[in-house]
Amino acid sequence: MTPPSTHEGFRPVWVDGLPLFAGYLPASMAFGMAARHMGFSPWGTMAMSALIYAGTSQFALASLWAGHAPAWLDIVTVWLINMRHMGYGPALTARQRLSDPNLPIMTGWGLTDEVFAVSVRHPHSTLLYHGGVTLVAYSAWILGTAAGAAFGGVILHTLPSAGSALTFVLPALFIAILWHWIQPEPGRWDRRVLAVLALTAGLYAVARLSGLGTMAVPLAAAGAAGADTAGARMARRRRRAP
Amino acid sequence: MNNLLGGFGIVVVLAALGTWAERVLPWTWAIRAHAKQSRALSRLDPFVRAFAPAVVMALLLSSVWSAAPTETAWRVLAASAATVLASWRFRSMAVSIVVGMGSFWILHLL
Repeated sequence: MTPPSTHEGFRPVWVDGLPLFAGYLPASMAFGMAARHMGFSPWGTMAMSALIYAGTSQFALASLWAGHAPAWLDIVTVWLINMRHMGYGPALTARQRLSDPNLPIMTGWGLTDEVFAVSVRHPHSTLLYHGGVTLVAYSAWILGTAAGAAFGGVILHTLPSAGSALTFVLPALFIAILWHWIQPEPGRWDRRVLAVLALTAGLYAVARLSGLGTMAVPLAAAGAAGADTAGARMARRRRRAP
Repeated sequence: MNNLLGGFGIVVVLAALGTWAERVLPWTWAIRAHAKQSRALSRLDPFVRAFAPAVVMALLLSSVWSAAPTETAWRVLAASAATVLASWRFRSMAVSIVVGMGSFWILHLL
C-alpha cells in the first residue's frame, strides 16, 4: 500500500475518508433517532455527539440517563467503554514511527475505532492525513446525528428497509480493512495475521459469553496480540539455541 | 430531562473530558517516548503489529454481535461473503462497502 504523504495532497484523505463518512452517517443517524426517542432534546442529543464523539458509549450514556442512573455511574461507564482508545495512539506511533508532537493535540480527540482502523493500515501518515480523515469522520458523525434527530422518523417511515441495510455498513468497513492485512498483495496470504484473527475470534467469543460486554474488544485484541508476541519471541529463542 | 446547563451538561462535559484524555494523553506519551528512542516503545512494536488487526477483528465481531439477531445471522454471513469477494476482486474499501451493504439490503428485501 502506498504511504500517504503531503506530496499526494488530499487524495488519501478522500480515499480513506469517504468509506468512513458512509459508515458513520447511518450509525450516527441511529443514535440521533434513538436519543430523541428516549426523550432527549435536539441540543442534548447534538451535545453528546459533538463532545463525547464515541458511538457505543453515547448509546450507553443516553440509556443510563434516561433510566435515571446516578450521574457518577453515567460518567464512569463512558470512561470504561472508551478505555480501549488508550491503546490506539501508542499503536499508531509504534507502527508508523510518528514523531510529530502536534498529532495527538490536533487530531487525538477524534481517534475513534474506525479512524484508527483505517489509518493504521498505512506504514506512515502525516498531520494532513490524520487531520483530514478525522474531520471527515467527525463531520459525518455530527451531520448524521442532526439528520437522525430531525428527520429519522420520516426516513424510516418512507423507506423502512433502509434501516436494516445500514446496520451492515460498519461490519463491511471492518471486513474490507481486514482483507488488506490478510492478503496484502494478490495471491500472498499472511498466515500470521490469519492466526491472530482466529485467536481473537475465539477470545472474543469467550469474553462475550462471560458477560464482559464491550470490554471484550480490548481484552480479546490484547490477548491475541500478547499470545502472538510471546509465540514469536519463543520461536526466536528456539532458533538461537544451539 | 436533559438541561444542558444543569446536571446533564456536567455529565456530558466530564464524560467527554475523560474520553479526550483516554485518546490524547497516552498518544502524547508515546510520541515523546518515540522521540527519545525509548526501549519500551521498541519492545512494544511486535505487540502493536499484531494488536492492530486483532482489534479490528474484535470490532467486527462486536458490530456483528450487536447488529445481528439469530434470525438474520444467515443474511450477515452471506453479505460478509459478498464483501470478502468484492475486497478480493476489487481491492477497494469503498466498492467492498457498497457491495456488502447492497447485498445485505437485497437479502433483506427477498
